[in-house]
Amino acid sequence: MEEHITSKRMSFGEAIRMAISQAMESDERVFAYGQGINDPGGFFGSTVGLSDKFSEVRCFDVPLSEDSLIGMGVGAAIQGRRPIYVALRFDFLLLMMNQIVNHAAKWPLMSGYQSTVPLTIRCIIGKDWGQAAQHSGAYHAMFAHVPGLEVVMPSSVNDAPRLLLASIQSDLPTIFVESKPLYELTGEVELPIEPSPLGQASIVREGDDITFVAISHMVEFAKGVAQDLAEKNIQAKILDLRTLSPLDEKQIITSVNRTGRVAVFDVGWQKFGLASEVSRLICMTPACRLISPLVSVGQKWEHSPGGCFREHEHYPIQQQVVTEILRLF
Amino acid sequence: MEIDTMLTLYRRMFLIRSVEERIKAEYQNRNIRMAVHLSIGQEAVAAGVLLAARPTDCCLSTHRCHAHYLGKGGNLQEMIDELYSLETGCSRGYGGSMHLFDKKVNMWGSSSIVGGSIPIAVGMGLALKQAGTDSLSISFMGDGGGDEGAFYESLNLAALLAVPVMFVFENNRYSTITPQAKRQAALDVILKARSFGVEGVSVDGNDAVQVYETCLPAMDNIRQRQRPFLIEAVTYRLCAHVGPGSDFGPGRRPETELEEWRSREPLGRLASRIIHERPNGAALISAAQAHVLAEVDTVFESAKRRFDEVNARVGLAAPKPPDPSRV
Repeated sequence: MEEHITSKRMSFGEAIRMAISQAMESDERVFAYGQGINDPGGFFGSTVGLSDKFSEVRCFDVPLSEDSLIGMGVGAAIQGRRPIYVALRFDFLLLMMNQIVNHAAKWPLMSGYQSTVPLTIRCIIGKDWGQAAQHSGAYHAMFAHVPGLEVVMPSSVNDAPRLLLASIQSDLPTIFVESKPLYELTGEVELPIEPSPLGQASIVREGDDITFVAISHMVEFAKGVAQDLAEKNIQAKILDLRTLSPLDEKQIITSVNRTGRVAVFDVGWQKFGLASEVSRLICMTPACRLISPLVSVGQKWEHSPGGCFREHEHYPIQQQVVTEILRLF
Repeated sequence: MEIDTMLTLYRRMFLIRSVEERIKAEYQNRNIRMAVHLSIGQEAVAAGVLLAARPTDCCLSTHRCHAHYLGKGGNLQEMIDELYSLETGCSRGYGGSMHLFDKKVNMWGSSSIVGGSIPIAVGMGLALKQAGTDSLSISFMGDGGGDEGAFYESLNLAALLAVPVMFVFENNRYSTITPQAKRQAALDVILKARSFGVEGVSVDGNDAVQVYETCLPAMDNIRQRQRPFLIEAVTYRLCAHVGPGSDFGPGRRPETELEEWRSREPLGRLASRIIHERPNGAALISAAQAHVLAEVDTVFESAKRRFDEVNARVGLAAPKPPDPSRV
């Protein structure tokens, strides 16, 4: 049979919507719910039209009861449904911690692995335009610390729908972390969308001098830094982790072994986060040695300020990162 | 009520009571190496509700889940194996006493975070409805669950989304030793449920017949109308919150209360009724008791023997004796 693979240019929000739509079409157990999910804006376009296509039974609006909404998702998932909860901001997941950590993550184990929790929670990290401290949180490391959860963080329009499909198909509870800057992107998406295996990093750029380990919108940032460094004849290899948990430890180690230098580009804070985990990995791997100190790029050690001038200072600035890395050579 | 139904209720309650009495007795040997939350005194709630339910109805429970597991028909040997930390346990040695699971009888587990399983039960009901079944979800909670915000969120969600779920508010009037009146400004849970659009009724939770006869039409109603319902079963825990001891005395629960509730304990009441209604009632009860006791004995002896075999290999140190100053 002839395969009909086409590709279409679309926005990040459209790509996410396409993945949900395809999942709902091919599996009647999939449903989506969230606060304001059927509003005309539809989570930056990512849920627009789903209730028209699949009815409000499979895509429905809900009250502001975060903890119980996730509990409800856990219960439906235990009974074989594949719920997708959509949260407008990552910060709102802190209202759901009891159900995510104490229940979703532990239910499979507590049942002696006789029960699965195929629940997906989408959330968006806010950035820019005065998101302020309570709409900008990036808590992926907190969730990745919890056994039994998967944490997925796409960086591109092409990857996001493929990773989302894999998250929906996974039997484990999965936190699917998007970020607001990603919604500015457009790109080519291959159709039909094929799920992309979780736990596999992708090589975004080849280089022999330093390894960049990056996630989410910091992959774009890392590309900018790499370009500047290339002008100084320093070639960075960029690894887009795509999922934080499970983590592609093998590719990180293989690359660091070759380059001997590493910079970590995290969306979150620099302490107890991705850079800490990469350091742990390197330090615990026999014969894996760095020839210069690790560079950690991420949010400063405070919460994101609401005013634009302070906010500008809060996030990493490309030129400063380039200067810091050049000092290693 | 048919005598057969009464005897079935009695057998289930006696099974729960005997298993828990045996746990109490074995606990001093320190090989049930986990906290146990006994339901002695509350058996009529589990037995009455779950005899009225269908095998296809899905049940969730709390840290005090032994009675619900057995009431649902969970495998006894696998439960005791779980208490003895064996791989053959109902949760494969991963759950323990607070997390009993038996998919075969639709016992889908329990949460030891108070109130935690209530919204999960709403989700199970939603799934059963989405799948087009006429099964319902049964959510056991204590009055402590009624302190939690999740309880009220769940009432609202179940009513709003028209979910077939039976909330069983098993009111033993205490959270550990703190009375309900010290925790809740308004005590009438039926009124609270109604204000969220959930109908409900309060029953004597120590009267198994009343619990059963209330649940039967209520469950039919949930199935037909696809609406939630709440039953409050007022009962009393005769043992400590946790462990085999008691928590009565100064600064704890009043001894006078214990005497009062002992006189209303559910097994004796049902036995009297059976004996009163049937000339051969006493004989029927004795036969039922003998059968259950023999089974309990076999099951515990098997689990204990296999615990010893495993520990001969693993070699865990003997645990410290219990601290008598703690209850």
